[in-house]
Amino acid sequence: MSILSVEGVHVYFGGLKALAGVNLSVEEGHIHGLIGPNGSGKTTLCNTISGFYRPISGKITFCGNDLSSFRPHERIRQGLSRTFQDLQVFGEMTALENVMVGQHYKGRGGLISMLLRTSYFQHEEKETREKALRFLANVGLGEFERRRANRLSFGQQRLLELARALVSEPSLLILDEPAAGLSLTMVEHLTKILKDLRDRQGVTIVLIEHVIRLVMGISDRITVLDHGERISEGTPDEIRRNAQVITAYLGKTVNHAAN
Amino acid sequence: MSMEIILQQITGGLAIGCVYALIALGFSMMLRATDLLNFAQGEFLMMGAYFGYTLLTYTPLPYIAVFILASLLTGLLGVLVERLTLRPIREQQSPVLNLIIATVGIGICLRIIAQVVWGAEPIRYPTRIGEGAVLVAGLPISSMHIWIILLAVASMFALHLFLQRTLSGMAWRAAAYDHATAEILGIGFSKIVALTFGISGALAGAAGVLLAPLFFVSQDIWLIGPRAFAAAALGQFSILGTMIGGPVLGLIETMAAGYISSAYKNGIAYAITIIILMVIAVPKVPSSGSVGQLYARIPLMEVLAWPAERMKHWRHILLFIGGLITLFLPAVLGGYEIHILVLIMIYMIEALGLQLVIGYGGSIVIGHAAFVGVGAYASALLSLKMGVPFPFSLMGAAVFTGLLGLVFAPILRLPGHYCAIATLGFGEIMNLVMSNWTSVTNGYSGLSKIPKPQLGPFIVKSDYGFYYLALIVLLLVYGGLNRLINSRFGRALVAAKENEMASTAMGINVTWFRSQTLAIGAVCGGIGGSLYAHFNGFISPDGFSIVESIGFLTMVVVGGLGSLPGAMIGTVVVFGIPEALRGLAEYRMLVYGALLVLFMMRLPGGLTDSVPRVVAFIMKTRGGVKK
Repeated sequence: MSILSVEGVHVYFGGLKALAGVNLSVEEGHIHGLIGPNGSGKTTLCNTISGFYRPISGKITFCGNDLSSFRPHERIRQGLSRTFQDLQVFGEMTALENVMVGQHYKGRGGLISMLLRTSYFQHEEKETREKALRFLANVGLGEFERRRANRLSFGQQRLLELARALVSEPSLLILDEPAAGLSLTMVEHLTKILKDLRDRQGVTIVLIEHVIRLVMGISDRITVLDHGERISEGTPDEIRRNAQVITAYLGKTVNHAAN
Repeated sequence: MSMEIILQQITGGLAIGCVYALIALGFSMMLRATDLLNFAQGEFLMMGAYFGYTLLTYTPLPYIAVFILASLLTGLLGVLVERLTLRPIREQQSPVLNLIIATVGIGICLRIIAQVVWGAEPIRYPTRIGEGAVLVAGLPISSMHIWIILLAVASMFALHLFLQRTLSGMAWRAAAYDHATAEILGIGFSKIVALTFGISGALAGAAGVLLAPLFFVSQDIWLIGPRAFAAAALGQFSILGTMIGGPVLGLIETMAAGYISSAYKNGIAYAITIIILMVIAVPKVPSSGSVGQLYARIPLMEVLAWPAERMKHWRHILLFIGGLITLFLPAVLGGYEIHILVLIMIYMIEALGLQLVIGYGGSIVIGHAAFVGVGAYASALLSLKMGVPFPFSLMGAAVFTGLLGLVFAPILRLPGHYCAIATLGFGEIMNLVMSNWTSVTNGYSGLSKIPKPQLGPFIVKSDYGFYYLALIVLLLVYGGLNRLINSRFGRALVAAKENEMASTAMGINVTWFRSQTLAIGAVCGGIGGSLYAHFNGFISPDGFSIVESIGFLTMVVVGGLGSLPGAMIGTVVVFGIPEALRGLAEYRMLVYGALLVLFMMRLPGGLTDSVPRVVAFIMKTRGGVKK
């Protein structure tokens, strides 16, 4: 069953066509790879699904609901969570606080309960903290709970962002280049975490990635974008052999030479 | 209305408008090239006017020569100020707030220097042009207006030629478009910034020499600076647009003053600024950059690397000693000191509110005194006109200012410096209302005989009684804010300040959180204002002006952004310096302005940030740090 479906989405920045009628259908429980050359519209598509950009036309359906009726901050409640291409942790907050913010949308206690420190508030705060600690430990950052995020290493910040996205227990997780800038061991660590998410917890993942080995290795299906359009879709093997994809990445002459 | 008057109004409006355009061109150029809003632009105008005055009085030079000379001098001053103060701050990669505050500090310093050199009394300008009127098609037009328009247009034309025809001008345009690329092509950004400050200083100076003959020269003419910003906004910050925006603003102002109300004339420019900014400058996509902060604050905890238990232990001991001292302080102090202490505590309450908005919310608000004033007036009116007992007038003031905060909260959607200028405008408009809604506020003469607070059977009459009343309110406000900050609300707020995009993705409704913050900050201001009204027994619009707003900003910044104790320490310092420097008379304000600039240059994290730094330094030199 398809959990996310993007139909004919157009996004323009002024006169620039960023997305020209993109179609995408993500099956539940899959890791769906999204690849394409630089500027092909992958991140724009992510940001459109997150609600930061408004499509001029087209429709995005998530779990059967039309997403356009939800404002960007309401989408996490629908089960949509994400990480960002350029690290976007809350640098001045501790690692623990970062992951606690990831549970913000679940909080029910209002200003009054915060002022009076009601038992409900204390209970909620304790649960949030404990859950955050659990998720930090899960990505291997357990010992850094009190360290400020901007003093973590680059790879640790990537993992922290992942923990922050996961703590909301999303049904769909969008990862925008999670392996960019990571060392090989870190990439392996990440691969293991992602496989575990899909196989044990049934999280659906949209994975944008330039590290081809990672994306080919774990994706169930792959969509290739170029110039804001979908040029191909299929299993990793099909994509590897697709002439159009090779052209998009390497140019025409190389493709001829390969033939 | 006769043709004659209409024509005079039009030329008058155009003349003022041309002056606005010159000032506003400085704003536009600065925003284009350096992404900085110079809050000292009005003071440069003032300096230009004074330079012109001195030259006209002590040299036989003709007006035109003085006009050119004074502009050049002011331009030079601009370059100097940038080189000495702003460049070091910019080179630390400080965020926009630091630069804004530094320019505010520079403005204060220039005002005091002018006061020391030329005296506080308004001076009549010795004009050598434009006396009398010329007849145009049989109708008299003030020749002064014609001179102003001609000289202003000539200056703008010169600027246009410079930007279009000279190599430096083209370099400036290239850098304004994309300074990274321009830098690669060999256009040094520092030179461009210096050039921008030189030109915008010279333009402001020219505006000063043109404007002064219409008014008296005094330190107060700096207020025209922020008002002229509306001309830049009208022109959408393009050079040509600003040139047209100035005269349009001048005409709108004069027409509105003539046909609607002259009392609110000065508010029109601010209203235009706010409206236009709300239309063109609200970002459609949440930003992923940090808005407010500022500085990598080092928590003392991290420096000492003490276990939480030990920190707690020390905190309890300190709290106990501090509590004892505050409780018994009145027993050893005289009446005057107590009076000052009560005022300091009231200011602390107000500053804490602003700390929440700026330090945690990351919105640069320069209109906090308006909330304080509205709270003071609301509380005073409730008890004077309706006989509402004190606790309820205090609550009424709190609720009313809170609602006012919510109503104006959309302003906080504006990014950094736009938010600063829009809130400054909001403050000025509120101040105009206090001054001109005479039937309710009694205008400039203010409200007096505000009753002392009555709590049940007790009337808080003495300063001693007030000491404890203010102390209790202060503790409640501090405790409340502290609890809010250390909860989901505070986390969401800091997250939104750090990164709007990521926090939106985490489900935080950034706009709504900012609105709540402004409302809570306003409530604190309103509570402080209410206490002040009942403590002082007299309030007038003067006590809630832009100068007060800047005072609050200083308290928060000097103490340390993003720290509640910082706001209180800052209040003591800002309040204490003028008290301690009584002997220096007017120079003490100079110290105050210089402090702002120095803090931004050397201690952008404020006093609360300096303690951990000093501790870290000591520990490092002793070599006793174990990693």
